[in-house]
Amino acid sequence: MTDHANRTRDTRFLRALRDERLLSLLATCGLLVTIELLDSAKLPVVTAVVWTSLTRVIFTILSVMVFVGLVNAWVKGDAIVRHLGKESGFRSLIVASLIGTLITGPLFAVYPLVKSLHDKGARTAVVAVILTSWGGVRLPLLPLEVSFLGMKFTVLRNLLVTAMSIPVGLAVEKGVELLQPRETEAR
Amino acid sequence: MAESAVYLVLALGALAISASKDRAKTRQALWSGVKTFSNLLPLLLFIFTLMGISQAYVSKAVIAAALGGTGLVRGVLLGAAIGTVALIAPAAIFPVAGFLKGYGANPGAIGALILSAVLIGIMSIPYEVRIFGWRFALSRNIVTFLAAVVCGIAIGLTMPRW
Repeated sequence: MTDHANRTRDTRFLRALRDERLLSLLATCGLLVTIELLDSAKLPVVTAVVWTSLTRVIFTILSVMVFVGLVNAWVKGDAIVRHLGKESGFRSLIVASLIGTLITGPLFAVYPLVKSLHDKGARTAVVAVILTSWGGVRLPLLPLEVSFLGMKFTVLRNLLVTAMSIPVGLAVEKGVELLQPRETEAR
Repeated sequence: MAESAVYLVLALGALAISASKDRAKTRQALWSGVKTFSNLLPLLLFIFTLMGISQAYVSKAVIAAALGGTGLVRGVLLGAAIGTVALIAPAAIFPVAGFLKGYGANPGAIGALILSAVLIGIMSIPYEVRIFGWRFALSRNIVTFLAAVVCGIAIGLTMPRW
């Protein structure tokens, strides 16, 4: 009885811990309270940074979230991926690199989607190329990058990742082959 | 400020076009945007607090010497290493990068930091292993780290200063 009660309390506690939002808020309050207690003279410095950063990004982030939502609603990742499944050869790597830039979405949704492509017979390099250009180029986040780091840096970095995704994909494929057990060793 | 007004107008315009084509899809888009935003906001607060604490206690000279200065390769390697262990959402990495830029970090180091942060992430490795297997995860993360370093050096050579 008590054991069971303990266990439900434990899982509820763990679930709350896994909630990133709650955790972030608690950690923020904890930090601010600690500074107030130990070194209250520095608190205004900290809160000033929080305030100026927040007011600086809030409208850009709001617009970015609208873009993210629209892309999620209108661009169907699985349709794109199904199309790519039919491609092969070096052309498939170029298409994969472009398609990776178009796919948006969180990691936990994109990984299984790209895995399904691999299950349908796409080569390992294609999978790695998509993951690289998906992670490296975030079209909806471009306004944020330009606002903080400037146009020149943003263009340079995004072009470099798109170009790099293909050699990265090929190298990852080679790496997987090297890690594969030899025929003679496998049973 | 003027920039963010432009983005806001663009976002509202895109919403209006979307709504004129498909109301239900637009509502779904708005809802998913709101959800992402509410997930992100507490995390941003936390990261901004950390930035404030760095501003209060870490001197500019320390960051400038580590991620700026003359040693491009050293700054890039350090940037890539920090990005690998940083547990930062992609949308939050850019404000942090802007903060480090203000502290004198150079473009190459920032480039390597952003790339390793969005492409590696210690937290996601167990998930990657589960979905793609350990051979793929190991190979991809090592190759990606090297690529982040190479890209960082390329950015640093093309663009030595901001």
